[in-house]
Amino acid sequence: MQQASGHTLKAFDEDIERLRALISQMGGLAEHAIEEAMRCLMQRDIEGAARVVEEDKKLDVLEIETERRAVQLIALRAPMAGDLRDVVAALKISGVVERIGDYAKNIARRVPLLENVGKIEPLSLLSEMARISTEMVHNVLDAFVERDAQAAVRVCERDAAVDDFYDSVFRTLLTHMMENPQNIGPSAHLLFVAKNLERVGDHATNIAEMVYYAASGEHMADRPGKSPR
Amino acid sequence: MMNDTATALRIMPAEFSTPPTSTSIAIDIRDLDFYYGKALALKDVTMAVPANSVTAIIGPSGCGKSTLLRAINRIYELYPDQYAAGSIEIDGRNVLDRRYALSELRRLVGMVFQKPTPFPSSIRANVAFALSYYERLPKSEVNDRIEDALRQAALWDEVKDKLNQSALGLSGGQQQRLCIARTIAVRPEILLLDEATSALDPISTAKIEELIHELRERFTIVIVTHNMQQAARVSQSTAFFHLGELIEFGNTSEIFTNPREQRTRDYITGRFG
Repeated sequence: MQQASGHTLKAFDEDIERLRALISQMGGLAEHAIEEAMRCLMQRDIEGAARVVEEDKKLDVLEIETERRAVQLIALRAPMAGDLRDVVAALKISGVVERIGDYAKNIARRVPLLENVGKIEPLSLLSEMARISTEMVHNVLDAFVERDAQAAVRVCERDAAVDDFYDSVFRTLLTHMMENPQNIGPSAHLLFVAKNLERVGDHATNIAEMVYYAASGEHMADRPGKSPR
Repeated sequence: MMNDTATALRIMPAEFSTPPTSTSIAIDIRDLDFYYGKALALKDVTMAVPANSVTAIIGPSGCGKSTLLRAINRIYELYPDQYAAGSIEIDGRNVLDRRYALSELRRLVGMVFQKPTPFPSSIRANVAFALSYYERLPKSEVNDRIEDALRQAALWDEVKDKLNQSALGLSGGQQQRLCIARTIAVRPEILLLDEATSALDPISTAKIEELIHELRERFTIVIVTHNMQQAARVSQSTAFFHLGELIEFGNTSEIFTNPREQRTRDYITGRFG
């Protein structure tokens, strides 16, 4: 739902825009972190993986900055209605995006442990899973910036695909482990990677619910045409 | 299960003209038009003000919010060329009806204005004035009623030792609370506050807001305010007026987090004009 026009007090618009820009910046970093962690995993790039771990600190700093600005905006501008919902959503989303960064870090940390492992079957499945979940993160943060509730709904609908991938990877890895006990170590690590990616999808879905509420004032579960879960 | 809880916890969307918090209706306004000469200041206003709660009227200047209060206690009759059409029912009777005695209406509906308006007499006389007008009470009872009114207005402790001193010696905030005491001394049902704190400092404002909060169980309170934060802080229902029309009326929490109408949204988020 679009706001009619800018605030009478222009500085208010600037504050809200700055908050949105921070969330976008965090989203960009988290997306990039997942992509990089997966690239390093595929190419066994240990140095690159170390950089991903190091870069995660930037997300922590941005999360603190978002919180500081949101609290300041509430204190100084007393936002109401859609503005208030936006600020609260920004506050919550920054925490979730920071968690997504942690999953990227977690994946990157496993790269050295898998250095000497030969070809493992489900890696291609994992990279596809990573692609969909990072796309969900990208799209849901676009939806936040655009205040687009319908785009948020579409993000939620993709989560099932990520879950299906996870089930598929899980079964494949289990088979690997059963075939040869030497596969158990690396397969267990990949299982964690898959779980992390699946959680990224879940978090994107959570953000979508926050975006939906911020944009429409309604909870997603109550939206028209939605059968109760 | 989860869904049941979610449904139970959810505040149902407000109908635009009757707030859902309403248990009973104190002021039933129907099809109210108000004219200043030929200028139509209120257009076809229908709203049911819930009893024993605080209703805030908000809106930009000239939207008709003060006019609405002036209609409820018929203060407009003091001026030529001002008149109201439609009905305002209190206790089942239309107070706009000329046969409804003004003195009776004034006892039922008290009003406090933007600037404190104490009489230039003692604190005691200020409170006793209306009491002696409406009721013949023995002196001891008058004193009890004065104390009671001053206590309810949270002023007693500050003035109990100087009841015979001039009311004009009180601070602005104290004068305003004295005006509230004077109003509630005659035990009205309805209190109308027209920008009652806008001339006061923040601490006096907080005291009056706390007072409004305490009084709401005994009275039906309607406040007009430019200060939206104040409306959000003290009221249970909020009505938004624009250009003489009632745009939206509902739960205060709903109006300030998720208003239904675009004009309400624009106004409360500071996007008007």
